[in-house]
Amino acid sequence: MYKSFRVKNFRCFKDLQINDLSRVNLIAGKNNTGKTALMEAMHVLAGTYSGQVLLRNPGLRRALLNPENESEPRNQLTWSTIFKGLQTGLSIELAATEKIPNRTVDTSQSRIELSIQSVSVSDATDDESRYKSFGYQYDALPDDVDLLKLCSSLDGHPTYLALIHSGIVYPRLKPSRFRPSQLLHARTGASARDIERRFNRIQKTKKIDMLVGALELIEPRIKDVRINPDGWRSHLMTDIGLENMIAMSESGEGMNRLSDIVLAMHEAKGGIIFIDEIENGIHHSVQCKVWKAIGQVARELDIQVFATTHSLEMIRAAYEAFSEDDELEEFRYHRLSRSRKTGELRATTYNELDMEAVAAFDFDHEVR
Amino acid sequence: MDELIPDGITRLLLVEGNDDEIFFRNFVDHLVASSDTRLLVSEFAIIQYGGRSQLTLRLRDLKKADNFEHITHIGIARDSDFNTDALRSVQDRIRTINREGPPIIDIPDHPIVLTIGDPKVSVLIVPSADREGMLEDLVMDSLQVDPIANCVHKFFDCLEEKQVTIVPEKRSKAQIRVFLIGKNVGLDTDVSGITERLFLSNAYETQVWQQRNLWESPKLADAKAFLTQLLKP
Repeated sequence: MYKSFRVKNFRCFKDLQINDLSRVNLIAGKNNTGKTALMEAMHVLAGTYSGQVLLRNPGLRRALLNPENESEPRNQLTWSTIFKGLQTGLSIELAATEKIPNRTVDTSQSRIELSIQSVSVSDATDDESRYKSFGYQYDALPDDVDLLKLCSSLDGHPTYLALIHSGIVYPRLKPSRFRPSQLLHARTGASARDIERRFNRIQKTKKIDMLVGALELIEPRIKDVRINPDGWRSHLMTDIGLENMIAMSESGEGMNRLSDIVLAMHEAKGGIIFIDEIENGIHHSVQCKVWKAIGQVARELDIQVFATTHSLEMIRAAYEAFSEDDELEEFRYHRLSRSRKTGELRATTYNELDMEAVAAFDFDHEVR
Repeated sequence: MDELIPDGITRLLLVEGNDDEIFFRNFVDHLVASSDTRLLVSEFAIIQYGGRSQLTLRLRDLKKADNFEHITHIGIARDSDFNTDALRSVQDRIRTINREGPPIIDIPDHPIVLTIGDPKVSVLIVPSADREGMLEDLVMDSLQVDPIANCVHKFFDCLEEKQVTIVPEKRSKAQIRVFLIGKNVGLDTDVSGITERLFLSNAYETQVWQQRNLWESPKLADAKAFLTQLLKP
């Protein structure tokens, strides 16, 4: 579980440190204060066993493959969009302190550094010739393509990533330390394929009750959830006591959103889940219950949760949920803002005492 | 919803409740109108902390606020209340907050003495550091310039002669109410009947507060010095 995280020169961040991370972390801040980018950075670090994580992340995928920076030719893909101020001369650093349970030394560091490699493809790959036997052949790439050099504290050898229109070329290496992580995008739900895969796993581990229990918060009539393999794509069906089961997609956005969250959490067992704009589709009257469900599932599956929000109601609901369950030490609220002095982004963390202070005044001022 | 510390604010006055905020806001208006020197009212904000037990919480809340780093002056106004050491209570609460980590807030040794730290801190105990009571006592003191105040005192003296006991904690609040009745405040009616508007905040509806000499009362000298400390460049 991450205890602290530092990001340098990535996207909008010059150097941001966020401390006192807990099991469930809610990140808020005004527009353009880097909430989603912070989760992207953590997601990249958590998934460094594979450069593919850069494209599995919807925000980064869009930024890298559909650059809107007019200074770059349309047909020229560049890594610049992930660098602070598009400055590819900088070096990106992502580092976390982690709590390792049942160890004498209970923390460890994981860190990666991303920089543009100035040497040619052939030089880079010759130097690391062992990578040639995995996946793509670097020597099939044009020699002038920018290589992103990824150095990880988890692996002694650098990895070279190349960006092409069909994706990222990267060596398939075994992860030094596998850390399951899932990122739920703010607006696009999980794909049918992901839902099917996740549901099959939850079924295999006999955890469908956990999914039903969570969905019951929104739809009290729900009795069961199954997958319908018919048709051109699979989809979830719910039993709400009618003659036939009905498609989950017929239900409201909240049901689908919560279903996505629980299925993704199950997939991230022992790892991390990132949920962008968690309030989407969830009515304020059930927000507190949703937080309780997320807290319970997170504890049961040993997951660390990071979620962003624009909603004061969602912050208030989280406080209520974790204080009612006497689990406030498992919850941290982090506010991102831009310092008027330096112009750079920074994080302010509210622990249980700080949240009690804000709640004492009934959230009477802007804490988002 | 507003920020706790709006952009551009460098001076903060922390007060217990709504009555206190209205009192100090009126006082600042008078200072601006009467002072020869420039006062930084545009950089000044009043924040309620909701009673002495909540001061720790509000200070903790403030330290987390985005613009706290820009605050140069903090004033804390507190009732002396009864059977308490109000200054020590404020000191203890700041000490508690400081133990939780930076930024450290200066602990004033004496009332109305601005510390030299960053931010500078000053405390005002009302009606005064050496007298038990509350803001209403200070207001009654300052209302002596008005003839109605004399009637109020005679009424309460009469009650005392008749051995009617008014507990000290209620006395000045009761005096303010009687004073307001003497000023015909609080006797409005609406559809629900008589509107009860006899609180301290209604006192400012009376013309007496337009009198310059009221704010210049020697009884308000400490409060004036305290506010001037916070407001001067």
